[in-house]
Amino acid sequence: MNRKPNFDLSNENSWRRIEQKGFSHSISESVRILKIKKRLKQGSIISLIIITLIGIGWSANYIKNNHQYFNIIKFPQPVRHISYRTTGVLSREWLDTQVDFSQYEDMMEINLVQIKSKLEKLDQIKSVSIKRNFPDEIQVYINELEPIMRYVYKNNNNVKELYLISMDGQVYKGHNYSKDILNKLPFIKGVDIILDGNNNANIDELNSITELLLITKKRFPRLYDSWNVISYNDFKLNIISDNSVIVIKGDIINETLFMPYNFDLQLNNLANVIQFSINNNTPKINRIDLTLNDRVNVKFD
Amino acid sequence: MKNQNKIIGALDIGTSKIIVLIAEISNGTDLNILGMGEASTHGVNKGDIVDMEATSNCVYAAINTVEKSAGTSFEKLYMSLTGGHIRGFYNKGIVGVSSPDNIIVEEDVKRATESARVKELRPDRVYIHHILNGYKLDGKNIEFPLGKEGEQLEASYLHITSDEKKLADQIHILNWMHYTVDDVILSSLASGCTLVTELEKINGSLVIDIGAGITDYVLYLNGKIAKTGVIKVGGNHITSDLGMALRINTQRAEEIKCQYNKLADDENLENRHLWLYGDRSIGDRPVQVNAIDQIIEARLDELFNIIKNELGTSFKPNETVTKITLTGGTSRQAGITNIAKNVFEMDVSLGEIPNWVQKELRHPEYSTVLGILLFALKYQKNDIVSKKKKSRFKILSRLFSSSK
Repeated sequence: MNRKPNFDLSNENSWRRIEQKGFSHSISESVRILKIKKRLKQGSIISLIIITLIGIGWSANYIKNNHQYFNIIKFPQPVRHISYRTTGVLSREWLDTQVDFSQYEDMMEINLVQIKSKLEKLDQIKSVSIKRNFPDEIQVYINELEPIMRYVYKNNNNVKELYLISMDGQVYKGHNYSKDILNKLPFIKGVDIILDGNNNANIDELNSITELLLITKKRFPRLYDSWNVISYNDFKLNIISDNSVIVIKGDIINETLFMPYNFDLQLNNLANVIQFSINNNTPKINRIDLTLNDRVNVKFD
Repeated sequence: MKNQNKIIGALDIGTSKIIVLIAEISNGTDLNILGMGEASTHGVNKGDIVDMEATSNCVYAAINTVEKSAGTSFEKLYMSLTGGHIRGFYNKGIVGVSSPDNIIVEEDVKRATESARVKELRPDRVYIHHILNGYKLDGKNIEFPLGKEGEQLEASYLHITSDEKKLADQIHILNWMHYTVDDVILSSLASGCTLVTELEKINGSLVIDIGAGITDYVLYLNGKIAKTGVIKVGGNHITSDLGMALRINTQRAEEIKCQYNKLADDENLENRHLWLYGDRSIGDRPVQVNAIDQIIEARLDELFNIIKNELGTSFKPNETVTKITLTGGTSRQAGITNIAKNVFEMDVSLGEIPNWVQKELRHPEYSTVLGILLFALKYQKNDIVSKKKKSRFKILSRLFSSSK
């Protein structure tokens, strides 16, 4: 029993009978300040609670009345829209045959890296960018190769196949190109382009001709459209050789001979000759040789 | 087990300063002091509140400081109590052993203790503590009466009472600040709690807490509180004596008291002197340190003699009491232990605050407020033990009720 607490006060005469409570009147300035502070604190807490409750109530009411704006996305979400944007001619139908998005049930299931890699392996496509546009759209941006020449290739079975050559020297089979577009592209002849498994050609061999075509297409688009065949028969890989000549056959001028360098100078000379011909109403130019540096040899019909 | 952390406050309203400590009790066993707040007291005379407004402002300042320093508010507040209105008396409860074989059972002990504790007080008095002082079985002292054989069991209690209005004043000051007082502890018991070990209590120990306005003392004999009291003499009386004897104002007398304490470290005080006004103005003159020494000694000698007389025959130097400890702000007075030694005719030491307390708090004036924290810790332990017992009982009763 000795272990019981010594200070046990259960008697009614204990000091605990003194009533302890907060008094309404303040005895001193400090207590007054303390009370004001406590009341302000209590008031601010109550105000905060009231504001929060009003806010919750208003929000609930707003959501109830405008539920159409609050579509809460629940996953899994199926892919409903696939949009393609391309810099070239590839059609949605053709692209759908290449990538099947319908196999995916969920937006988040789609492996964008895999699809991008698959599309970029297609020879007409230069680069691809894909992104998810929630809730249900996949956006595919395609950057296609731009063709500047056509090339007829004889395969092992001696069957002719048409290939296109892009500005940066890529050789590929074109898809979805209209006849109008294809007819404007000149053929390239006299070059044995050896295609590897990925249809890539030796780009070094084509560098000079692509440069000529690009400058011409930019400065003299009508002349470029009139070019039908670009012949490499007299072209040697060593472009310093005086004997290397690019022969272009076209509608306006039957045959034009270019050196494989200094294209700007040659095209200026060509422009001067054409202008002279128009001004002097000469017969049609049959052949023009621009390989003589400061001189031009012109043969009229 | 769920952590039972409580932030508690200990408040000591002294005559010269108010001290508040804030501490955290973890799991009812660990005490961690978080902060301290102090303020000079105004409106308290000899432990009694004479100006509620002034005291209220001081208490507010101290509590505000401690709460800011700790960064938290206390959940429970414990307060010390002292003053000339504190009284103590013994009361006995005697019962006959009820069982036919004269073996004491729990019911007998309960009846004896209840009988000892039921004593009507005057309407203006309230109990502060009931302190069990021991049992006697057929006139012989016994420690644990349960199971012993005898005819008459006697329980003895020391009751501490206070003036209700004076205590209510102190409590209401805190109530105005919306604090509730959880318990009140007598200052002398709180100081004893800090400074005296259980072994020293068994061997007999006297703790004298000399404050600015009053002096509390507590005497432990055989491990129990044998006597406690309050004397309305303190450090302020020494200042007042110096003022009257040297005919200087109280402020200057306090300065001279402090200067004397600094000088007292030197052994050779024979030819030393202090300047009366200290500013060497007209009328300023040197006062021999010996004269100051005599004034201080006279007052302290008187104080210790009063205590010795109050203790009466229960105090026998080096027999019933083996240790006398001085504490409180005035215990810093130079030469005080020697004066006490001469009066009590035994060695007297200054109280040493335990090492677990922060260095800044290891000063004699903090012994009371630290004791309040220790009391609160003890109270919390008991509280947890009783709650555990209750919860175990609840589980058992649920088991039985479910098996029905």
